[in-house]
Amino acid sequence: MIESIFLVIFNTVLNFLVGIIRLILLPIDALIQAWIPDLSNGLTAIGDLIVIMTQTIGWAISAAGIPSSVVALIASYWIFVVTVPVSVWFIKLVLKWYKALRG
Amino acid sequence: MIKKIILILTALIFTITPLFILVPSASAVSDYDQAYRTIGVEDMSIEMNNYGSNNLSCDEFFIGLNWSDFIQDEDNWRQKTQTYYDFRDNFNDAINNDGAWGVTKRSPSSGYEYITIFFSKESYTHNLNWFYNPITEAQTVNLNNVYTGGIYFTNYLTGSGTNCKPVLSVNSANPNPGAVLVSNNSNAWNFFIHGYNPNYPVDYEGELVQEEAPTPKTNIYPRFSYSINQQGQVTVHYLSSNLIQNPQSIDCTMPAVGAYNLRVSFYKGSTLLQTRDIDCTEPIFDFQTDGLGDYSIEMEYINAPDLELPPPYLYQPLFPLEGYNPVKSIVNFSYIGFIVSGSNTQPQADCTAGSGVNSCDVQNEFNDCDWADFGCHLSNFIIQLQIWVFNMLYAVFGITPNQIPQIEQIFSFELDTHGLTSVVTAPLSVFNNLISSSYTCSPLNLPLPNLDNKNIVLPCLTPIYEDHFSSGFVMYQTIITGIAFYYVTVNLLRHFKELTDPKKDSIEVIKL
Repeated sequence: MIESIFLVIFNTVLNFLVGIIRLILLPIDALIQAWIPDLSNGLTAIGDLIVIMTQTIGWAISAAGIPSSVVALIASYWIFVVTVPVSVWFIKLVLKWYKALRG
Repeated sequence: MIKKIILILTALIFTITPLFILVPSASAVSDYDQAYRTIGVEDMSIEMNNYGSNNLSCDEFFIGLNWSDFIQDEDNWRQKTQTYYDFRDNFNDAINNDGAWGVTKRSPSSGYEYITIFFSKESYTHNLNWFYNPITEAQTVNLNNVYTGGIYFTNYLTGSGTNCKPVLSVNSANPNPGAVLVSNNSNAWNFFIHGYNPNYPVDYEGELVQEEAPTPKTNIYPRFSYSINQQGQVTVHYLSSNLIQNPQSIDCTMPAVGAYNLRVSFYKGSTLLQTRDIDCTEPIFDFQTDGLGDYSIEMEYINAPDLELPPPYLYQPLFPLEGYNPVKSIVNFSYIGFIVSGSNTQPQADCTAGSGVNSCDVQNEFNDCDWADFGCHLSNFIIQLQIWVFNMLYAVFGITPNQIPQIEQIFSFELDTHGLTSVVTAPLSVFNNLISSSYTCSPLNLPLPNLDNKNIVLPCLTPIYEDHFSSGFVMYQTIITGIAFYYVTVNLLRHFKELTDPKKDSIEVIKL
């Protein structure tokens, strides 16, 4: 239950990051695509290459003999690391504002 | 014996042969049966394609039943001379005083067509004259004492230029002693010849003379309407035909209407984007626009089933071929961002407003505001601003409204990325996939260079380790798990320690 809540928070953060990056880069990418299409194609190819390379991660984990439980443990740990401090920080922020307004 | 057989055979041959020669065949025709040919009102048009040394061309000019009115209007005459005035007066005299008249379309050589008008006055004998030339096998229908005039394109008469105005050309105000109405060895088709005695030859079995101008076929056209959303998706609704009142009630399992009978085409400018054949079981279908621009939707009946619907299906047949003329319904519209402006090409198209669909009228999204209604003016301003933004995006970046993703697509990994964004977001995608547990092992297929369709396949190794080093591998995995558990535990403790410090408010970030 708690893990799935953290997973949702983590996915939300990731999606937010991706959205912000897209919004910032949208006009730049559109300009590049409109005026220097070859450069745009080259950049897309680099991105595709990274995606293709990451498709080997599953094989690499298997080759290294790392159990899936370890991968899940590390993934869960990182979800915890990047979500719980944010939540705590947010609670602290609310409390700070509450104190400031009160006093 | 042999002699007897030969004699019998010879007798048989001589007996049977005359029978073939003397007894007329049931399908025999007279020498005039191919002389007369006719056309319908829908073919009463002329055009010219790369004719002569000057490659004269003119678009189709349809005159239909208006040939008589054409003669009356002086603006349609090649010259305004006495010959033309006399021609018109004699024509009016013929049609008002029991004369005879007719019209023929001709195309004596490839590339050009014209129309000939004939008439004779009351004082003349009105008989068709049928001729057959046994040497050339020409079959001809002639007229005596007949006035003739023609409708031609102007540049045909002058031999050059681009003036395609059709005009009446008359050589003489006097009757021609003999003129060819139609002939089997010339490209001529009689539209009709009224007031003449057909005077058919004996045993004539050819086409009957069309003695009255044929009634035009009733145009039957599909009725539809369309709507378009902000993403440029066009939804077309087939409503019915102009002759079928209740298309929804037609049982589509009936063979008469179950066959594909509608074709819908979607154009951007003159470029065909998509075409689909549909039947009445599919009254709604979508097209996707290809950016801003001028579009048209065309709908027409195809493969017209020539069947009568039996009872209890008492609806009108879809369209029997006789008497009906399938006509395209066309709607033109311009897609400019949120605004769609359009027009139908009446009378073919007959878009009707209905629930959930828009009519073919111009769709103006602007509100009709009272001068003091500032909210209304503000709404119009926002619409105008949206149009301006769309047009700017299209002009500068080439982005069309349908290419702009929805906001929920932007904030997700569903959208395909390209350019700089694909490079920057690639690590995030990797991380997202890792968390989503999509990194299960699958064998790697590595293509070999310079060898078509040859791959090296690297299988997943864990099952191999388990098979060959079962106890050692379990030990190895236990150690790895222990190290990972130790690492996670230690770091978790550290994080808990930090979290319990009320003054510390730093946030851990991932270094991408």
